[in-house]
Amino acid sequence: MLLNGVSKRYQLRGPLVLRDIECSMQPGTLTHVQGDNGCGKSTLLRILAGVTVPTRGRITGLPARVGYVPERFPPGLRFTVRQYLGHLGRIRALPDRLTAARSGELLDLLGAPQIADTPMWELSKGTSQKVAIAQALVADPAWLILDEAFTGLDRSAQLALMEQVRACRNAGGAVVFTDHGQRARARALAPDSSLVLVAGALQPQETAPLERVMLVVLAGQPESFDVAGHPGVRHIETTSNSILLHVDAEDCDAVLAKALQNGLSVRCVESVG
Amino acid sequence: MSALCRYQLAGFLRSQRWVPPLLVYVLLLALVYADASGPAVPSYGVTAVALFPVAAWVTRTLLSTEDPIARQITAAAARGQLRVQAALLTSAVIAALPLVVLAVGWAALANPAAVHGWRTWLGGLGIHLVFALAGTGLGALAGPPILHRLGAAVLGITTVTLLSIIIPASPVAWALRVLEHNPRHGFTTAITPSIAFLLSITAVAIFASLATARRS
Repeated sequence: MLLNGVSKRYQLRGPLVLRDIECSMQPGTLTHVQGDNGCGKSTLLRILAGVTVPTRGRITGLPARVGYVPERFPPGLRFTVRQYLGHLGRIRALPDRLTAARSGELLDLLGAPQIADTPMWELSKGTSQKVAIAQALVADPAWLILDEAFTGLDRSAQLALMEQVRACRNAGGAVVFTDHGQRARARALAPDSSLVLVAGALQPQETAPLERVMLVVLAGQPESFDVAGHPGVRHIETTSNSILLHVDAEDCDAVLAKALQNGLSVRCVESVG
Repeated sequence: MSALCRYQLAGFLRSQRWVPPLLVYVLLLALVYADASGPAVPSYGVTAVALFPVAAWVTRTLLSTEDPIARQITAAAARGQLRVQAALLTSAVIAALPLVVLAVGWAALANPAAVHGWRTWLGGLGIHLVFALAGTGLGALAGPPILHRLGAAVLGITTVTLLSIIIPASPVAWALRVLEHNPRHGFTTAITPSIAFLLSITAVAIFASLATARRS
């Protein structure tokens, strides 16, 4: 899977939504695409899914079995869940029986077992999201594109989806996902690589690792620990009995060890970007 | 491809958006055959030319029935927008076939004396099919991904239909004249150039729609 100088504009003289994207994805890997709203993430994922053709540049090596979960699943489809999944299975040239068995299994795993005969327009947002995920996974895709697929799902469905993503990767499939705001979940999935988009262009990898700055909250007497001199500390706020720090991720452990040595206790550690 | 057509036609049937064009066409047939005298062929002319905007309407509606996001999922499963668009246009032709049969069948029932012999039957089916195809081409130009706005599409279909009837040199007006003035024969020979011209414009329109879908 190779993207070669891929650019995209939607209108003839419109702005470039993506600019000269160069990247590659190997089988059996998980790629996290990051970026702010409107930076071109969804467009990149649509190109990867083969749904949109780049205006300039080339994409090569797209696998045949593609599973795509779009950012928002439309609410008004005029089919029951079983009919919709059946149609999409036939479009993928899967045997009806296989589609029925696999999609039933997937809806079970996602915690929506009894919806096969429910009309799609009666489903809640989260439940239709589960149908969207089921249609993508039915074909055991070699190439899985998840655009904010975790948002709107309940906790157990999120875990089930994470399990499916791992299974897909372990079976030699390539997975690309976006997951806005939820760094903890992205970390739990342990992506093999991470792409950061800023205004349609790919950021160089070195300057944009998955987590860079950690927020640390310590409780105790601020005077007992001269934190300002410690390497990696970027920002300090103190009250009479607590310290709030922003620390570079690579120095975080050292700062925590020093703080514990000095009799402070750790209240909170989390990634802030 | 057949699975894609089946999915699109099922969605179109369930949307019930085919009802207005069908009703309009049925009304027109009822008006044309209210007085059941006269030869079948001039009536064929009117009912065939009427299929031009009606088939365009059906096509435009079919092209815009599936939700854009659902279409992305379909395109990913079908491996590309080109196949989805080709299936939609094929479905539009399939959806126009009942109208073709309805028009010729109505003529036969209303005027059994004039519609006799396989030549009249075949000629009737043929001329209606030609205008149904031409209408599909017009609808392809008036629908996504070439034209997204409904207002512009309605205006476009109406204007093209009116102009093609009014302007004497247009293949539609030409076919209409030939059918009126040669009620008994001349179906195949005199009308061939205008049909060929009409079908080649249609081919260009279909190609434009497919090419735009592929690049979208």
